[in-house]
Formats: sequence, structure tokens, C-alpha cells
Amino acid sequence: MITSIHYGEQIDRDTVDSLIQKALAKGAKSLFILCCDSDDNDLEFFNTLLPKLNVPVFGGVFPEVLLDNQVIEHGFVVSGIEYLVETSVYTDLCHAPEKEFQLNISLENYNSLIVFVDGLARNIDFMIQQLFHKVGNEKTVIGGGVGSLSFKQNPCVICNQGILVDAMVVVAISQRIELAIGHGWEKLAGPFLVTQADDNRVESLDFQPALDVYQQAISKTSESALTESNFFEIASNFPFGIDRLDDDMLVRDPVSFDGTSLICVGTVPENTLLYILQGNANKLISAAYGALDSVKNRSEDSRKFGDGILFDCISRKLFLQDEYPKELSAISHRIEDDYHLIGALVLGEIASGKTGTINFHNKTAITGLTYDSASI
Amino acid sequence: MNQTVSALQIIAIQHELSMSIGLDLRLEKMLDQFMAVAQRRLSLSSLHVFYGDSQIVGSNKKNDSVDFISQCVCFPKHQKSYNLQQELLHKITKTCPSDLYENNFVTMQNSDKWFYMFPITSFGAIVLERAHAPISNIILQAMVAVFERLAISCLACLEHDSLLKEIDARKKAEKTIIRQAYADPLTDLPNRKMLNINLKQALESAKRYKYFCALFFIDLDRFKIINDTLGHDVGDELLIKVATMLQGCVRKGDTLARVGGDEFILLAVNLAKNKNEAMIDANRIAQKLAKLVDHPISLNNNKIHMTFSIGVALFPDESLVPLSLQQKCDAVIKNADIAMYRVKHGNRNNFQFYEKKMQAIAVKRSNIEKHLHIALAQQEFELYYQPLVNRDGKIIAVEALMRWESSELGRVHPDEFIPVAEESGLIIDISKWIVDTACQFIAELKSLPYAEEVEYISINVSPNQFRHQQFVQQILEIVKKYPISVNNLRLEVTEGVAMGNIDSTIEKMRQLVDNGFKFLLDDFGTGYSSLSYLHKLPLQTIKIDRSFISNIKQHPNNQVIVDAIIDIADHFGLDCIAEGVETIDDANYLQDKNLHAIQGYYFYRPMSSKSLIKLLQ
Repeated sequence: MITSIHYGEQIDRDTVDSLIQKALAKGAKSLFILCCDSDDNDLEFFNTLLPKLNVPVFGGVFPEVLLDNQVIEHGFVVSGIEYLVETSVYTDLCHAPEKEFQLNISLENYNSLIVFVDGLARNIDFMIQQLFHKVGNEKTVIGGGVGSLSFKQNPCVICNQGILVDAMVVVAISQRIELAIGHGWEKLAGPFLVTQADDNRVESLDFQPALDVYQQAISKTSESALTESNFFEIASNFPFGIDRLDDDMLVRDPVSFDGTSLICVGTVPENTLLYILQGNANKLISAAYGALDSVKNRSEDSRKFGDGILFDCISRKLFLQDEYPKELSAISHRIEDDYHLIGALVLGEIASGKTGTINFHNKTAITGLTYDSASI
Repeated sequence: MNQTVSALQIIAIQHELSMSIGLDLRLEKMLDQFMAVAQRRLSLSSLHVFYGDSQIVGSNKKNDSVDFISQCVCFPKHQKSYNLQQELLHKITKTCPSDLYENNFVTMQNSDKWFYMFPITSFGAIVLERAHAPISNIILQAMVAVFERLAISCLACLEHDSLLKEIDARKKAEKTIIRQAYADPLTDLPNRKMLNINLKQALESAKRYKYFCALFFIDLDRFKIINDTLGHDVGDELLIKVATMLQGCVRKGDTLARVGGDEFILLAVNLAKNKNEAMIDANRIAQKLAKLVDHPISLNNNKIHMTFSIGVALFPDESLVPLSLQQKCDAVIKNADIAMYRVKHGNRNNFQFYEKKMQAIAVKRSNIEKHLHIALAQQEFELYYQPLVNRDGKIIAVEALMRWESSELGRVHPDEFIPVAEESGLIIDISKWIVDTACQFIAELKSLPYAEEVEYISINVSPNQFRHQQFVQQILEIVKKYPISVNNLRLEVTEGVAMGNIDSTIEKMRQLVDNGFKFLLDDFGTGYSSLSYLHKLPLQTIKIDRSFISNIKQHPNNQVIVDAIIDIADHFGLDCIAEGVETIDDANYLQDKNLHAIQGYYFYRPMSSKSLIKLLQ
């Protein structure tokens, strides 16, 4: 999949342009650009540089970029892709339900889709649902929310139009991808019935104010009372798990509260059963690489796997802290020699599940194992 | 999962699915919302809902039959589902109904995919697809009640749908009836009826809000020629094109209507509160309308140069105050029509505002037209004959001229009634009468020994008569009725006959020339005077227009023109006649010119047939 990888420390027009040219010189037919978010970044130049390119380009601005076993906090990576990809770009997501969803891609020519969406945009679930409508359940989908951990909505979706805010890019690739989805969170309390919710806002659980239920449930393991200032830090240890009939639980991160309602990253539907989860570093890490092992074990010949794509939740890194390199290292070591692991820490992960549905995850590590080109 | 949790989960799923039923009255949208929830809550790969035509579903079909199914809605709406749908439908229709009802559903496994088919009473079937792991039986059984409820909602949607279709059909039918009643079928513009309604509103609103409005009566000049020469299809296409062009000038609230064959009316409302300002606005609109036809219109490889005659009537008008609303409507349209006719009687291609004095003229015209209709039957027409003399003053021919002594109107001048006859179409019957009477008189002259010198009688052929499809045949038939030679009858035409389609004009003239007729080109020098006409038309003679001859001695310029025309005629081998010779000076000037004949009051005034015979004696 990857023809060459180029790292630049300074994100400016000349450096980006020069690395793009290098990637093209190495035979890239498409370009994957991953930029690290930084207050100092002025990324306006993408809007004049990228439209001039004669090859498809996609990517985004991420809290941090992952390359093999390194976490890159500054700079950017340009990765050359050995084949042509097709992209479909959506803007103005805040008005998405008013518009007809069109997928300008000849789906029959592709096996997998990579999706990057502005992680702070509204209607992400709606867009994913629309994508599922168009794509069906037979394509593998991997991706994540791009943007800044500062929660300021800035231009962050990279495509041939430039760098866009409130946007989504769907990239169709011919390569087959196997997904390894793992989170390692375990049930602490529940189930609770979501008795009142509005999109990502959980208002009541079991007919009780959601914050009260949540505080009471975690009080067994966390002694501190929840306040506005400590909520994010404490809640990052106790995410929600939406119970599903077949799959593993879908993790939802509560990031803040408003009155007695809890605000999550991603939709929490009413009438679902919700658990409050807890985790520890070992279990999280082993779930991440364990999912990878399962995929590889299911396969008869592990050699047919090539480069890996990793979208790991930024809040996993915040939770694991110093232990995070272990997770990254465990995953990257499972990538065959001569191949790369490329990816990013994202604001929510996107992946198709075992039943084909496309889901928006939190606090989950999603690794995509591409099949070696020769074995496609 | 312990039993309590499992029960809670089932109840939650049942509850949520039930809540998602019937959220919309449109079937597909309702199913879409239900399926989205079901897909998520049951972790399905896809859902398919099969059902039949709304006319059949829920009717007399037996509950255990599913062979009426013809429609399918699926979630996700991926196109590859089509083959799957066919396979599932096949399976549903082949499944024994008793099997379905014993277990509530039928399971079909295909490698790692499970399909669960539920019949929905009197509606169709729903199929759940789950990949990777089967759905537990307890969940599936719990769905039966939900799907039964879904069926009721689906049937309600279908009923609603067929009601909507009925309402829609009724609305369409009403629309068609309204259209037929109020729109012109050719151009789709409002018709006279609709215009009347809008005009009434405009009259009332103008009175209430004290705004001046204008009504533009737009007539396409010489449209009949286009219809006659290029055919009605081209004529219709031209009308559609003109309607489209005119619509471009219509402001919101104005009305553009087609009220007759080539007549349009533009009702421009709320122009200004001051009459002068309203006139300025109306003037600007009229100019804009006229400008629309600045360039020729392309139609079926023909370039048609079209002009408008436009009459404008402003209202409110004090003179309309005593009238009823309907009478006001009629009066405004009539006033604009009168103004339009003033333009028509002038040089066309112009616009004119209605003035009160036009009314008297219009009344007179209308009187003439009324009496023209009975003039033929009552034998009020008479042909007068004006002799043409040679250089020696000898009568060599006569020109037949119309006279009308109306029992009601007295003597009416040809300049007054001929244009009315032309417009009303009466000219065709009148012309036939002229040819017949002239031929009859020729026969009479031929029987008189002293009238031998009169070589021919010329008659004037109107452009309308000439363009008539039966013109050639009629002339030939009339001439045959009398013992005369075609040589004795000559036909005077103006350049107007060649307008429109020169080829067809030549063709008709040729047919008559081949039968021995000769043509004179009348009024030469005043029309287009195109030398190409002289060259192309099969003419025998040209008649120099009287305006060049009258008082020629005092007008050196006219002398030059007349001399030049005589030379040109000579060059083309045509005879030349000078008409309008009224004085001895005129006659003296022409004495030595190369002229075939001279005609005018100086020699002879037009006279009755009796007087002519007496003269010849």
C-alpha cells in the first residue's frame, strides 16, 4: 500500500510541497497526509497547494500522528500510496440532514473505505448512517474523527480541495482490509436503561438524573466527587458501554456534564442498555493487540498481510499515559517486517462491525491490516 | 447475561422498535425510520420489507398467501441488494404458509449469514439479515408482536398513500379543467376569460389605490401572410416563440394573455399614481415590446421579420366611470384595440395610445364593415372605367375601378372601404365580383364595333386576393364563362403581392401568363421598387405612380425619376404607363416620352360602363 513515508518537522508550504514531490518521485499515485495539531500551525497554504495536485490526496489534522512505534507530536507525515484512490468530499455537515447524500465513487471498483470526519462537527452519526445506506454491509470501513484536542473547530479535513472545516472525506481503496477492533474496557456497573437522551446528551438513566446515577456507580472506585474541573479526568476512567446484541460493547466517552445530563462523544440512543465501564492499562493494551492476534490467527497465512493503519482514541492515550507506548509498540510489532504501521490518535474511531454496520467508537483501538498487494 | 437483564433488554428493544413505528404517514419513510432502529438494535446487516400493491394489500387476499408481493424496501439501500431481494422473495413465496405460521418465522442460513423471514398478516413479509452470529430465538419471538403492529401501521400508510394518490389525481384533473377554461392551449398563456378576471381585479384595485394601469393590445403585423405562405405549423410555432419573448417583459402581477389568432394583451398594473408618469412607464414598456422583434426570428430554416402594432389604453379613465365593471373591462380592451388599429392603418410596427377622437373613426370603420357585408347582395357596387390613351389621345384600354353607393352610408370612397374589405376578408368575394363584372363588360364591348380600339380592361388584384389558394383557378374559371380572350383582361398588382414568398408569387403569375394573361405592376416607384422584382416577376407593363406625375413640370426631381423609370422599363423590355395626368402641363411633359399609354383626369375621369360606351360611340 505504502510506497514511501516522509516526515517533516515544520508544517509550511515549502516543506509540505517538497515532501509531496519526493513521495511522487517514489512512484506514489495517491497521497496520505497526516498533520499534528498545534496552535502555531497556519495551514491556509493547503488551500492553494492541494488543488494543484494531479493525484488524489486525503488526510487530516490529528491530535498526534502514529508512525510504526513512534508517537509524533509535532510536524507532519506524507505517505505515498501505490495505487489511485477515489474520494468523495462532504462539507457543511451542520446542514447535512437537509441535503441529499451522494457518494461520488464507483463502489464496485473498491474493497475498502477510509473515512475522516471533522471530529467536532455535528451530524457525524447521521453521516455514518447515510454512508452505510450507500455502501451496504460488504465493504470494510475504517477511519476517525480529525481535529484538535483543544476542542476548537478549525479546518482539519485534508482533500484535493484543500483543508476543510465541518467536513468529511470518504476515500475508496482497492486493497482489502481486515479490521482488529479492541478496547479492553470491562463492566463496572449496570445495565442502566437510557430513559432520556438527545443525541450525545444522556439526560436520565433508569428514570434518574444521569449524573446522579453515574456518580453513585463510580463512587465505589473513585472517592472524589465529580466537579466541573475534575470531571474529564475522572470520567476518562469510567466510560459508558452501549450493550449490543451481537458485537462487543460500543464505548462512549462522557466528557462533561450540563446540569444533571452527561455529554458524550457520539450518540447514545434512548432505550439502549448502558453499562459503566472501567479498565486498567494491561487489559486495554492486551485488548488492542489481542484483536490483532485474533485477526492474524483466523488467517491461514499471516504473510499475506502488508501495511497497517491504526486509529487509536486520543482518550486511550490520556488514560494510559506513560503506558501508551507499550500499546503502540505491541501493535507495531505485529506488523510484518518490511511493512509500516501508519495512523493517528483520533477524536472517535470509525469502523465497520462484524455485521457490516458502520459504528462510531470511543476509547477503542482500531487497526486495519491491509493485504499485501501481491496477495490481493 | 442473567434473566433479568435479558428481559430488560428485550423489553427495551420491543419498546424502542414499537416507538419507531408509525412516525410518518409515507410508507417508505415510516419503514426507513423503523428499519434504522431495528438494524441498530438487533445488530442486523440488513432488513428487507416485502409488500404488495396498495390496491391488493389488505383487501380480499387470504392471510396465508404472499404471492401478491411486488414491492421491497431495504435497509441499507445498497444497489447490490437487488439479487438478494429476488432470492429472498423466491424463498418467501416457495415457503409453505403453514411452516411460517407455526414458527412465526423461517430461518435460512447462508455460510455466516442468517436470514429470518417473518410474514406480516395481510401485508407481506419482513426479512432480517444477521452476519457473523445468529439472533437468539427469544429475541426473534419477541419481534412477532412488534411486526404485527408494524403491519397495521403499514396498511394505514398504504391507505393514506392511495388517498393521497386520489387527491393528487383529483387536483390534477381540477388543474386541467382550470387550464382548459382559462389558458390558451397553444401558448399556455391566460386566455381572454382569465384576462377578464385579472382586468376586473386591476380595475377595482386601480380605483381603490389610485394607481394607473395600462392595457397593451399587441397584434402581429402581417401574420396572415406567414400563415398562408409558410403554413399553419410555422405560424403556430411563431406564436409560441412570440409568446415566450413577450413573457420576458412581464413583471410579477402583470398578465400576458393571448386573445385571438395573432393578438396578445399585456395588462401592466400599478404603473404610477400620476397619469403622466404612468404614460411614461407605458411608453417605455411599449418600446421594450417593439424592441423584442428588432431582429428576425428563426423558425424552421426561415428567418421571419416580425413587427407589432400596439395599442395602449390607460385606466382608470373618467369616461369609464358610469359603466359597470364588465362594461369597463370591455371598454378598456376596445380602446386599446382601436388604438392598435390606428397603428395598423398607418405604417404598422409602432404603438399608439388611445385617444377619444379615435372612437369616431373606429365607429365609422365598424359601420363600413357592417354595410360591406350586405353591399354585394344588394348590388351596391359598380365598376367605373377610366380610359388610358396613347400618344395621339386615342383610347386604347380602360382600368376598372370600384365604386360603392351604399343605401345607408351614401357614396363611400375606395380608400375607406378597400382596407376594411381587406381586413375583413370580404375582399375575396368582392374581387371575384370585379373579375366577373369586368369580363362581362369586355364581352359586351367586344360585341360593339366601335369599341374595337379598346385593347384590354385592367383590374386591380389585391394582395389578399392574389395570395388566395384558389386565385389562379378562380380567374381562369370566370374568364372561361365569357366569349372573350384572356388578352382582353390585364391584372394590376402592386409590389405587396411579392412580399412574403417571392417564389410562390412568381409561380402563380407564371401559371396565369402561361394561360395568356398579362400583368401590370401598379404604383411603381412608391413601394420597394426593387429592380430584382422587375427582373424576376413575369410582367408586361409597369405603371408609374401618380405621385411622380402630378405637377411634374414643377418638380425636376420627379422628372428625373420618371425618365429613369421609363429607361429602366425600356431596358427590361416592359411597357410603361403614366397615371395621374391631371393637367395639360403634365400631358405635355409626357408627350414625347417612350410611354405605352397615359391615364389621368386630364384625359378622362373614371366613368360608368354606360358612359364609356357612349364615349366610344
